[in-house]
Amino acid sequence: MARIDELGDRLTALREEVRGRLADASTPEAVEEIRVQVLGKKGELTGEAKAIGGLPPEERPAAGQLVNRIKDAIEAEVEAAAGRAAESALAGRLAAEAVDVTLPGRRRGLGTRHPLTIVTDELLEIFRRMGFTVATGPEVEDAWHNFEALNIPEGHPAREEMDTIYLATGDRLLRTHTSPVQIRVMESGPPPVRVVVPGRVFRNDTPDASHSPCFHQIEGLWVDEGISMAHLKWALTEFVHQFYGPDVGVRFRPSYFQFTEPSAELDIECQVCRGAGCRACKRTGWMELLGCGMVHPAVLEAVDLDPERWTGFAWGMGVERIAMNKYGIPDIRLFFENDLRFLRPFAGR
Amino acid sequence: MKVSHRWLAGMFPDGQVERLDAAELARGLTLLGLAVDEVRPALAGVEGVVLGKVLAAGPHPDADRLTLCTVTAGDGERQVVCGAPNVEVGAIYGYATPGARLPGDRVIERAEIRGVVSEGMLCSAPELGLDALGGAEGIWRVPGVDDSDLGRDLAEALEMDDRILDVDVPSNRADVLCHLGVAREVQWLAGARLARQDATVLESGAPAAGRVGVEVADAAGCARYLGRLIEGVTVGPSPAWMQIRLLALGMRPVNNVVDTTNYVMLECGQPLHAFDFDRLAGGRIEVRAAEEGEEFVTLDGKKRSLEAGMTLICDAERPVAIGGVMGGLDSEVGDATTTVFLEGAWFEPERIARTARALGLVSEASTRFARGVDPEVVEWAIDRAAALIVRTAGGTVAPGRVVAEPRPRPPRERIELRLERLAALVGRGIPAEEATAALTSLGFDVDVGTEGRLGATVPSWRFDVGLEVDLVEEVARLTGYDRVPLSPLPAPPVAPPRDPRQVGMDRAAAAARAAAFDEARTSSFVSADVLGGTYPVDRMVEIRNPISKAERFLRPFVFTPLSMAVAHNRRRGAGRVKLFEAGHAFVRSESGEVEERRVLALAASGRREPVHWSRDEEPVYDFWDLKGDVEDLVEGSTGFRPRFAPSDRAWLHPGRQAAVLDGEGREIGFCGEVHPRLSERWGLEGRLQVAELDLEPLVAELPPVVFVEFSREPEAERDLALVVPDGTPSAEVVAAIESDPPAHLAGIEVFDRYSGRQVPEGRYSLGVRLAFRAARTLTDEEIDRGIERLIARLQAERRWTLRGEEATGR
Repeated sequence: MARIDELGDRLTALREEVRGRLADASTPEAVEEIRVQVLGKKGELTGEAKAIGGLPPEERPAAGQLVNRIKDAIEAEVEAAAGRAAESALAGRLAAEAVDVTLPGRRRGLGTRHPLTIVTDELLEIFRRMGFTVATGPEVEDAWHNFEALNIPEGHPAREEMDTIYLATGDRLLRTHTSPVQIRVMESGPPPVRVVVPGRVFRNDTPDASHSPCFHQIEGLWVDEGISMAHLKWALTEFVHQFYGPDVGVRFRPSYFQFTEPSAELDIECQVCRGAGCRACKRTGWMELLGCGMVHPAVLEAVDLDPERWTGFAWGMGVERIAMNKYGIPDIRLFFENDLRFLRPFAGR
Repeated sequence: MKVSHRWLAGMFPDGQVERLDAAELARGLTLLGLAVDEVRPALAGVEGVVLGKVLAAGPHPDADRLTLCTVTAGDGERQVVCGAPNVEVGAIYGYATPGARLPGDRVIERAEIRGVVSEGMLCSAPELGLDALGGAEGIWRVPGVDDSDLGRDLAEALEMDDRILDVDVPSNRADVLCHLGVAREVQWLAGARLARQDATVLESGAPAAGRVGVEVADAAGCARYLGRLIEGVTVGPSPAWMQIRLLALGMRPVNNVVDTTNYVMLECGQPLHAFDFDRLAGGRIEVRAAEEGEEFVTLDGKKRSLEAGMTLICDAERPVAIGGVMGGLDSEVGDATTTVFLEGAWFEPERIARTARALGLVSEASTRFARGVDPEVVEWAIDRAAALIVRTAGGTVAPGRVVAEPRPRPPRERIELRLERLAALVGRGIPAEEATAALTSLGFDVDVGTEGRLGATVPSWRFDVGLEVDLVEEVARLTGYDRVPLSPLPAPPVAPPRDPRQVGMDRAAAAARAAAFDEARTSSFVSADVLGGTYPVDRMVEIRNPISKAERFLRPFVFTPLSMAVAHNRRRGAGRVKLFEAGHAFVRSESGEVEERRVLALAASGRREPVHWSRDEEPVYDFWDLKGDVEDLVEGSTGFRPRFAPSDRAWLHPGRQAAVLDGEGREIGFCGEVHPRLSERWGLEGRLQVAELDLEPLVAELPPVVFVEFSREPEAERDLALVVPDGTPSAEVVAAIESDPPAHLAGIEVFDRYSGRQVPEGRYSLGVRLAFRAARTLTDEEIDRGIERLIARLQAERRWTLRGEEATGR
C-alpha cells in the first residue's frame, strides 16, 4: 500500500473521529478545545501536514491537497459546531434567566387628581368650548364685591341667610359665593364679558353629610348687547347635554336671587331614577342642578354699565354636589378628609 | 311654609281647586317659582273611626277597672268595653268600629273581653295620632261637635284627611307666607277667582274707644297700631277642626283665643296678639322704644334684657309685650280671661329681625313681621279674628277699632312695562293681553300706557316689586319659562387662550402627580397653635365667627392642613403617603394687610417607594427625596432649575431645611423636614417632609428656549475625590471649581460623599465628576493638564487635597 493511501485512510478516520467528538461538544469551550487539539499548532491534523515532508517528493502535492481538503472540511464542521454550541449556550442562559412574570413590577406610584379637580376641569372644558374663559379671584373679599355690588345692600336679610364668615379685624369676609369675581371681571374692562369662575367659597355651616364650611362653586357670566333668557336657556341646556348626555331632561323653574332677575333654578331629570321618582329626588323626578338668571340691572349699574344697552346672564353651581352625584359619594366631608382609599380609585381620570 | 290643601281649596268656593289633586297643585306651584319640597298627609292615617255618643255606662261584671258602655253612632246601639277611667255619659268620642285602622298599623277587631263582647273601641287622643290634643290616660272627648254629627267619619269631620304642601317661599316673597298669598298664585294656575272670607263683625255695647286708648310714641318702630275689644269670652279649647288644622301646619294649639289669632295669621299673614284686657293697667296702650338694659319677662317666663331700639308695648304702668316678637307673662290670655284686647300692628321689619335675633325669639309671628306684612291687611285681619273669637269663645265685640297711625301708608306705585324690553329680556314676544292677564291675576291693576307700554299699579302686598324688571319676571314666570325658546350664543369666532398662570399651575400639578403625589383638598381653617407656637399669631388672619372655636384662623400655609391629611393616612396604616395641594394661603403683613397667595404645597411621609419583593430594605422618604421632587417639580413647570440655600424656619428641622430660590436668587418657597416636636403634635410617627412653593408668578411666563449648537463629540469624564473641611457645603466646592474652570468643562456632578477612617478627622471627601466637551476630540493630555492646574489651585487657595494624597501632601 502506498504511503499516500495510508495517509488518506488516517485522515478520513481523523475526520470521522473529530466529527464524533464535535457532536458531543455542547459548549463553545469544548468546541474550542477540539479545534486546538486538531487544528492548533500542535494539533493532530497539523502533525499530519508536517509529516508530508517525509513522503517521497512525487506524492507530496497530492498529499498536500488531501490534507488541505480534510482541513477545510474539519474547519467547516468546527465552525458549525461552534455556532450550535453558542446557540445552545445562549438558549441555556436565557432559560436560566426566566422569571415569574406574575410577580409585581417595580412601580414608582401614581399621583391621582382629586375628584373635585376632575369634575371642575370637565365642567370648565365644556364652557371653554362654548367661548368662555376662566377667571379667578380672591377668597378674602370685601363687602362691596360680595354683597353691595350684587344688589345685596347692608341690612338685607339675604346677608344673614348667607351665613357669612367675617375676619376678626377690618370689614373683610370670606366670599360666600364666586359671584364677586363677576364684579371684578366687569370692573376690569368693557363687555363683551364671557367668563367661568371656579373657586372655593365659605359659609358658616356646621359640617355634616351635606354641609361643609368650605366648598367649591363654578360661576358663569355672559354680558353683551342683546342677550336674553333664550340665550341662557340654550347655553345651560347645551351644558347639561354635554355633561350628562343629550337625552337628559332639563327644566327651568322660577326662583329668586338678589343679583339676577328673572331668576331660575335649572332642574335636570333625576340621575338615580331617570325621572320616574325616587327617594333621592323626593319623588319629583327632578334634581336641582344650578341657579341662574338674567343679570340684575342694579348689578350692571354697580359697575357703571348701562342696563339699557348691556344685558347678560349668570349662573352658579356647587361642584361637590355634582361630584357626589356623579360618583355616588354619600358624604361631602370625604372630599376634605383626603383618605387615600377615597382618592386612589380616581387614578387615571 | 306649610299649606293645607283643604284650606286652599276652601278659598275657591266653586271647587276648581278641590278638583286639583295636591300633587298636581304642587307641580304647578313649583313651576311658578314656589317650589313644593314635599306633599304629605296632614296626620297619620285613621280609617273607620266615627263619632259615637255614650248613651249609658255601667261596670263590667267581671273586671273592676273596665266600663261597659252603650254607644250609638246614630244608627242603633252597640256594646263597647272601655278601660279608661273618664267615660262620660252623653259625651261624643272617636269610636273605632270593628275593622277600623289606627296609626301604627293597628287594626281594631270585634273582641271578647273577660267574657263580654266589645264592638270596637273608644279612642284616646294619642290612639288617633293626636298626642297634642290629649293624654293617653283617658279617652278623648271630641270638642265642637253635637248629635247631628253622630256617625260621621272622624277623619272627615275633623278634616284630618288633608294634605300638607311644604312650600319653599323665596326670600323676597313675604306675601306668600299665608294661605291667602298662595291662593293668589293658584288663581292663575286654576283659572279661578278666590273669594275672600267674610270678616264682618257684629258689634254691640259701648264703643271700644271709650274704654281703651292707644298711642304710638315710637313711630320709627311701629307705623300703625289697631285694637279691638271682645267682652264676655269663655276661654277653653278651640274646636277640634281648628286644633287639628293648626297641628297639621306645625303650630301647637293653646286655647280658643290664641289659636284664633294664629289661625288668622296663617290665613292672611298678619300676626295678631291677644291680651287679657283686665290685666292691662289703666286701659291704655303705649308703643314706645325700649331703653338700653330695660328688663322684661316674656311669656316663656324668662327675664330678658332689652336693647335700645326694640319696640315695647306698654300699659299705663309697665311693658306688656315686646312688639311683634313676644307677649308678657302677666297679660297673657288664660282660663280666667273674660275680656280680650286684640292687637293688630305693623312693625318695622328690620327692627323686628334684629330684635328677634338678639333675643333668640324667632317665631312664626316675628318671621312674618321681619319679612314684611301687607300694610293694608290689618283691618281685615283684626275683624276676621274678632268674629272668629266670638264663634269659638263666645262674647261680644265692642263697636269700633281703636287706632293709632303715626305714619301714612305707602302709596301704591305705578310701574311701566315696555313690551319691547319684556321681549328683549325674555327672548320672545309676549302679547300685551297675555302680560295683562298674568299681572291682573296677581292683583296688579293694569292700564294701557303710551305706545307699547303697560302701566301696572302694584298691590299693597307686593312691596317686593318696584322696577320694570320685577314686572318682567312676574310675566315671565307666569307665562312659563318652558315657553322661552333656545337661542344659540353668538360665540366669538375663536375662543380666547387660557390664562398662562392657570396653564402653568396645571403643569405644576401634573409634575407633582408624575412624582407620585396624590392631590388633596384640605380645610382652609387652622388653630392658632397649628405650628406649635413657632409662627406669630398676629401674622395669622383671624376669623370673627369661626365654625369651631379652636380653628379660628385661616391657614398661613397650605402644608399645615396637608400634613394633617398625611398624618390621617399614616395613622390608618398607609405605608407611603405623598400629598399635594394647590390652594390659597393667608397671612397678615406687618401693616395688617391680608396677603393671599395661591401656592403649591407638598407633604410626604413613609416609604420612599412602593413595597417591592426584590428589595431587602425599604428606605424612608427623606430630605433628599423631597429636594429631588422639588427640583423635578420646579423645572418641570417653570423650565429652570431651582437653587437652594440654608434657612432657619422654626417649624422645620434646624439642620434639614432649605429656602428654594429661582434663577435670580429670589426666594420662591421652602422645603424641609418638619421639626420632630411638631410632627409628633400632629400625631405622626416618623419623619415628615414638606415644601411650599409660590409658583404662580413663575409659571406664567417661561423664558424662551433658544437652540444652542452642541458638540457631537462624546464627552470625556474625570472623577475627583476632594477632601475638604467638614461643614463645607457641596455647593461651595462646585462654585470653587466653576470660578476658574479647566478648559472645556461642560458640567459638574456630585456623585459621592464620604467621611470615615480613610480621610483625616474634621474633613470629608466629596466625589465630583467633571465632564469635558469641545467641538473636536480632546486629548487625555490636555484634559489632565487642566485638572492638574485645578487641583493645584484648590490646594493653594483652599487647602483642599485629593483623597489618598493628603498623607503625602502634609
